[in-house]
Amino acid sequence: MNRTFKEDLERELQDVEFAREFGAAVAKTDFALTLAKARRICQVTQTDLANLLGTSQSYIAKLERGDANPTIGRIGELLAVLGLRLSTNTIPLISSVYSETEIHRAENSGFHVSTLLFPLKDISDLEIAVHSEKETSDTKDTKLVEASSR
Amino acid sequence: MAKIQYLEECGLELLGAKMLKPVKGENDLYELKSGQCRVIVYYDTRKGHKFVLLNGFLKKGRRERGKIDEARFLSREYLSRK
Repeated sequence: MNRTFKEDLERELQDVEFAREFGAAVAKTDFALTLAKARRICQVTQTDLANLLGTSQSYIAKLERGDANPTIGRIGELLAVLGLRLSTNTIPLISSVYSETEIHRAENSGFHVSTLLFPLKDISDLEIAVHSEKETSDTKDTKLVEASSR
Repeated sequence: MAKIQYLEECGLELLGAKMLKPVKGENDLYELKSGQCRVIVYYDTRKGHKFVLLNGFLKKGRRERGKIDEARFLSREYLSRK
């Protein structure tokens, strides 16, 4: 009687068509959450980001809702403006975005913003990530200043 | 369905990304948005913090009061069953 969402999802995923659609939606949602969080932490408004990229604020909003389908290059551009870069990874389709081991590993390995890996749990996670990145290259602050002065 | 999975995993964090929106004038009712699709969910804050999917529809116009009333009715039914 009690079906769980996961069981339903697993059954539906047997269908290749559904799996394709689902995969696309997951990727967009994942990126959307990552972008929304990264932008908020970098304290850049949607309008500012749009201006830097020469797009409209509504497009950024669309991206953050997971309704847009940007190209990989576009994602790179967006993140670069925020002083970040894309780091891709793959995990099983049905798996928690909040895998503790993944978070732990990421925290210890100096990553940027990972889309497929997981959206960061909260601000402190991203700060740790940004911080570890800091040690290897320019500081985030410098990049941000560069970005906003363009 | 992807957004439902994220709702399960990220919860109210989706509010920040505007994927989830509180329903005006209704406590604990939220609207999960994906393109034109809307799913009204009830946020059950009692033990376990559950999201209960109440009804889904395609948003056609600005007025969707009927759908919200229906969701409110369903949420009451859900609560009475508990």
